[in-house]
Amino acid sequence: MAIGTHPIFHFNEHRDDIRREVIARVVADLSTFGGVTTPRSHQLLLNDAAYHEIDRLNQGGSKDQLERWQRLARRLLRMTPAELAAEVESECAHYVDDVQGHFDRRVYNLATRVLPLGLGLLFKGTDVAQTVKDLARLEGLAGFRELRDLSGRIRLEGEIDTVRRLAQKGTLVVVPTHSSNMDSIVLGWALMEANLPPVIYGAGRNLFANPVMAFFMRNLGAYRVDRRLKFSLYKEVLKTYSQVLLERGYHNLFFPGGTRSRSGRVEQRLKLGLLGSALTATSERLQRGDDRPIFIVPTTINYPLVLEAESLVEDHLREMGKERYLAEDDGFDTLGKLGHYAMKVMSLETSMAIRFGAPLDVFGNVVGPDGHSRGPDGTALRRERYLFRDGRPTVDVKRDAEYTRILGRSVSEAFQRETVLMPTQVLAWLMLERERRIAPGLDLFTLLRTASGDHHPWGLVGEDVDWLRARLVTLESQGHLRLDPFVRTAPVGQLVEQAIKTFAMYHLRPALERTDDGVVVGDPKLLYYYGNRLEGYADALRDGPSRVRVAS
Amino acid sequence: MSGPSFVVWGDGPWGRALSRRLASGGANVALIGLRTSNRKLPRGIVHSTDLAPALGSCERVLVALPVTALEAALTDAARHFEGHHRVVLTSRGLTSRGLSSAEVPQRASEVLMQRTCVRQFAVLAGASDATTLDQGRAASLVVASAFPSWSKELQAALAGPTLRVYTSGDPIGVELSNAIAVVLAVALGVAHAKDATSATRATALTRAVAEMDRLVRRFGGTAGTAFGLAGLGVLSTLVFDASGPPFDAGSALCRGDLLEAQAQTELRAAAAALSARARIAGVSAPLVDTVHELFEGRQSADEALTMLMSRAARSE
Repeated sequence: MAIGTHPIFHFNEHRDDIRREVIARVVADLSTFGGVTTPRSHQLLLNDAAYHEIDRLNQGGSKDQLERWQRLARRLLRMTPAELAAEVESECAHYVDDVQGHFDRRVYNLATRVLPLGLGLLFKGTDVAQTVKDLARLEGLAGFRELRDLSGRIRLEGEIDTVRRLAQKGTLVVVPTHSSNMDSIVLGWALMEANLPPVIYGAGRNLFANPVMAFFMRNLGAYRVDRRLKFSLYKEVLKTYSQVLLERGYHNLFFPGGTRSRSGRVEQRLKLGLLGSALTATSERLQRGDDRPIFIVPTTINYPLVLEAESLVEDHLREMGKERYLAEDDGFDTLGKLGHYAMKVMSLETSMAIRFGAPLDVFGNVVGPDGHSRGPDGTALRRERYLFRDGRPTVDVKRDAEYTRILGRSVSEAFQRETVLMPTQVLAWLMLERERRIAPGLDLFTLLRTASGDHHPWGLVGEDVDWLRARLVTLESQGHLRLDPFVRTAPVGQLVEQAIKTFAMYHLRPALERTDDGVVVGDPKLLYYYGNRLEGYADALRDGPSRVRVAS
Repeated sequence: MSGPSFVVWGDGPWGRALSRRLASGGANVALIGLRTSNRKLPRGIVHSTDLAPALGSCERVLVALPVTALEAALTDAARHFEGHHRVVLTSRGLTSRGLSSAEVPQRASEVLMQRTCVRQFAVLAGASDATTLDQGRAASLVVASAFPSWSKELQAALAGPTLRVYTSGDPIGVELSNAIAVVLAVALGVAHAKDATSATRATALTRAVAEMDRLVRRFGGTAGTAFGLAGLGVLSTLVFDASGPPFDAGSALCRGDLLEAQAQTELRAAAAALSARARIAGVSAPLVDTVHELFEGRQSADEALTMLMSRAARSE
């Protein structure tokens, strides 16, 4: 199947039909709400929406909208059942229109040319909007062919061939790790580069603020998610919209961690709602006699440096520490940071890696290139049997919820296995571990406040890196994780030097600094953030005799 | 679907007792053993040595194999399982891979999930054994599953006038409690063999239960599960009987007869595994650690008692 024949290329033809189906299903599903049926359920539903929206808009928002919700709240008890039903349907239609995107083949064709160039220029520190303007003038020039070639800077790894074949046999749900707002752009490039079909995905409203980004996202099938809206009606619209798209066979992408990982850890607590809609869609399809499968593709996005590292870890520590954490305002300017990041990342020796893990079915079994689910012993499975009871397919909401939890665990495990550890992350984990061993009694927050300036002798750091690397190589050989090639093979001294250099190239206050005879801790919070990438393996790394020596 | 309503895999005393319990509740049972058997069985139970056809015609499977045999058996039979099979595990303890193995012994359900495609599983445990069931004396069991419809189905199939069956949504906690209880029972066996006073034994029992709860919670179970039938229930059975492998091992350790104690290889491996897991997880497990040290000959019973009693004072 050529890329252009995937269902998304016909999205606009079915757009109105999808809209009607989503509205009809949401209205039908919400006929019961809060344990009651219509018209009381409609009253409760609208009251729930009005309560949350008035609360939100009172803290700052459109005055017109605030007054509209206040009027509705006052009218609710006097509305007839017919008026309540009409109001629910009208609100559903409003939010479906707000959420729903388009897909324009011309914009896709443009994006396939612009995105590599745009990313290339972005990584060379050029303004994105300027990139688009310059496109027509610069297209075709030999120098820009080089610029478009990001393969030296972004490695694509893993089960790409399998994923490509499965895209012909069923519906893909790509579920990546999430570290940065750059993820969706980089992943969009990765799908094009891997000759995989475009996917529909939900993007936060803030990402639509930039008109250029909004233009591309709106016309490439992205749907808008407004995380400020907390009421049930809106959540039901979002859930139903993504489910209808899945049932209709549109390839999908969502970040199961919900938001960017604040701590730097590989996400382990996943949001199960959208994963669950993959199982529900499978079940719905089967009931209609449609046995096209849905495949879950765990994917890891691995950066040597993360654009928003400082602000993310600040958020995380503030949330975790509450009053124990004394936040420091580093006065960092976001735009300045973006420019600084863009200029530096492309000149790093270490490239970023996007790794596609083995696809899974909605029950967490591995799927082979032939589209068959396989048990742990390699036996081909009949997937529909998971929905059977006493020889017949049955609906069991609690059973299916547990299947989804199991799928979530399989995705989490795949995230751990497929994470590619970078030199910065390895050295950060080791150095913070050394700090912990120096002061075993200190709680994390005190440690992060006091470790800056600590000196670690070069020889001991090198020995410890050597030991840690050997341990990581063993774990990689056992299939527990992946290592960046530089981590695996570089001489220890070069590995340490490279990691320190990488930190210094981007972060204003480097995580570590090199001295004549050792390594000095710069920003312990960055050590914590980058080192957290290894925390999922910490049991295996900390087990056994203590090998991390205290600096003397 | 025609055929038996339950496959009971394992025809030892526990498998046979549970088969009889199921048959008396109206189920048709295919009892699967390693060898053909001429022993008379009640109506409703058919003995066989062939698992595959039984699994081909039945969705409900009760596994009554010793935990030591579980991994090999499930690996061998994995190809016969399908997504619709609902399995209940009754094995007690952790899988034993030998003390020299670098791999951590596992819970039975972990083995089931890793070796087969089965998703719907439950765990059966509690204050009962084959003799109690066969004699029709009052007893209780708990069936725990994350799949409520499966645990309710099992509750209905097993319960009877002399057997109460409770459900739980915490299979990990039930499985862990069941495994930890037998290790802690070794410590209680030591206390018993030292001819200690009731006060000493009571102290050991209450601290054992507190430790079990701590470990269960740390390893993914729910707070309070250890105080139920699979934890305190199993521990109490061993204490009231004052016999059985854990107590015998405790007696041997108390006498300093290390070889006899170490013959209980499963208990020794379970103590080592739990102690290692607790240390890595940073959870206090003084009784499990002590049992491990005793099994490895690094402490005598007297030294262990002195060490336990001289620990820093703390709140309960």
